[in-house]
Amino acid sequence: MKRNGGRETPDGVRYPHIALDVLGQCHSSACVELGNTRVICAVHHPQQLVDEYRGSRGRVACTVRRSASAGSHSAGSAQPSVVTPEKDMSLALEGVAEEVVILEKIPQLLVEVVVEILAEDGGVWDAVATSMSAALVSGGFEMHDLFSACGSALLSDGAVVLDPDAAEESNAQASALVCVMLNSGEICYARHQGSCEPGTVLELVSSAMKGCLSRKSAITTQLINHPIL
Amino acid sequence: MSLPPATGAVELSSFKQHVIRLLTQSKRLDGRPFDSIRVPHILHENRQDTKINRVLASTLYTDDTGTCVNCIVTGVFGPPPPQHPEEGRLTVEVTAPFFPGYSAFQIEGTLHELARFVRSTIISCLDLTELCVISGEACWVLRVELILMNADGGLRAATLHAAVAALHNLTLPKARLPSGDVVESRCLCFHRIPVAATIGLCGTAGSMQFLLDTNAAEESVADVLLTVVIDETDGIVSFLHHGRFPLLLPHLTDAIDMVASHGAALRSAILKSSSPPQ
Repeated sequence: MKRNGGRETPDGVRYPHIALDVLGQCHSSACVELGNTRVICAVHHPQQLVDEYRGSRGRVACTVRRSASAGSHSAGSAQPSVVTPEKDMSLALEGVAEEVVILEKIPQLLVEVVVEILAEDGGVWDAVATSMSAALVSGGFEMHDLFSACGSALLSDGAVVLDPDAAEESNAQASALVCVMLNSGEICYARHQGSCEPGTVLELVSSAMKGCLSRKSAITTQLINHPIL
Repeated sequence: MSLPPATGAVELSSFKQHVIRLLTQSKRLDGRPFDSIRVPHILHENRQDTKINRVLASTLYTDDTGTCVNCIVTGVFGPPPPQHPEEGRLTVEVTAPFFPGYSAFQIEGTLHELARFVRSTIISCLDLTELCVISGEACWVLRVELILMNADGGLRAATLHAAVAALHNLTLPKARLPSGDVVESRCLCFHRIPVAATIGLCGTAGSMQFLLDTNAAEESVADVLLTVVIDETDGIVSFLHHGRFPLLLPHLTDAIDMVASHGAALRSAILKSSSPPQ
């Protein structure tokens, strides 16, 4: 089967290209391209949590914004609603960041992370998680592990494909997404959409985990080879 | 009307004092002379999935220092405006997602003003009747989205240059209306190409200092800010002035002459097409 991004097999993944420190006015930033999907993540300079929170742990706040021209399914010029998929993604990413970043090392500090989705062709979660991990690492925040995400989809012909693009995502019967720490293999976030048998859900999740871990060498190599880190 | 400078861990008031001290010594933060501009670089992006995403053009505007603007143009068919049935529609939206969240309300008015400025300047240089498909029934609706990645002063000039680079020689593709009529492809052209620059004035010790192409730090300390937009014949397309005191006519003509002397360099930099290597 012929797939997008030069892939021939159902378990082929698109490998991310990571560029660090692309924005000058932020504390740290990362731009990740995954096929035709492009995402920029920026970490602002940490602020002091003075009035709203006191304790021994810091906080990571995340905002995900989608460019109006990014997706193909942005219908016309509808009014921006309050509940968006980006809001769900930002809340999930905050939970992932709480697990990955050692918050006791930054007490009473607020770290604000902004993600902008510039172009989308499937694999948005993969690109967003990879860019957030790269931006936090290049910002000098102590973390337990790097993290990344990968999706898998069950197509209408019964095939399970890894890292689906936009066309495969829209035609899928069911899809799963897993956000995994790359070295320890622990799952930070998992999501399933659609309907299928329980055995297929397990197959989708395990396929997504394999795809996520298969990108580990590509991600760590690009982060290690950066002159700053 | 400019975004606050990125001072990092330095307080804004201390940063301003530092900039004022440099200006009294006839220096600028980035070491430029007072009458030099930052030459822009335009990167056109050729996307392979243009038909799917309705993205007609995508350009990345950068200069030698911090400003970086991403301009994305999308087009759909829609009804023409009722008051002008012979014209197409053009909307401009400016967003700055990478500014800190605590200044969101502060910069929202600035972004709206930027969008209005870019739209009015483009409309005065572009014939909107070229976007008309069927008079009174169908027209192209172009949406210009400008994303400020980095903002380092001169935002009106930067956003205008990014939008002009994306819209000039834009090919409206061959498409089919819902009624079944086929619309041939068309090339969009400006009948005059605007270039802009921001000039700051500092009144120190009774003498007036002109700062051409101000950055964000200089805009925060300048007494007067001028934005001059000119075309190929050095005609004035737009002129914006706001500050703490009014200006005399020789100051205005000096400001226009400063921008006109760099107009050819700016225009060639904007229209020069550079694509990423295939």
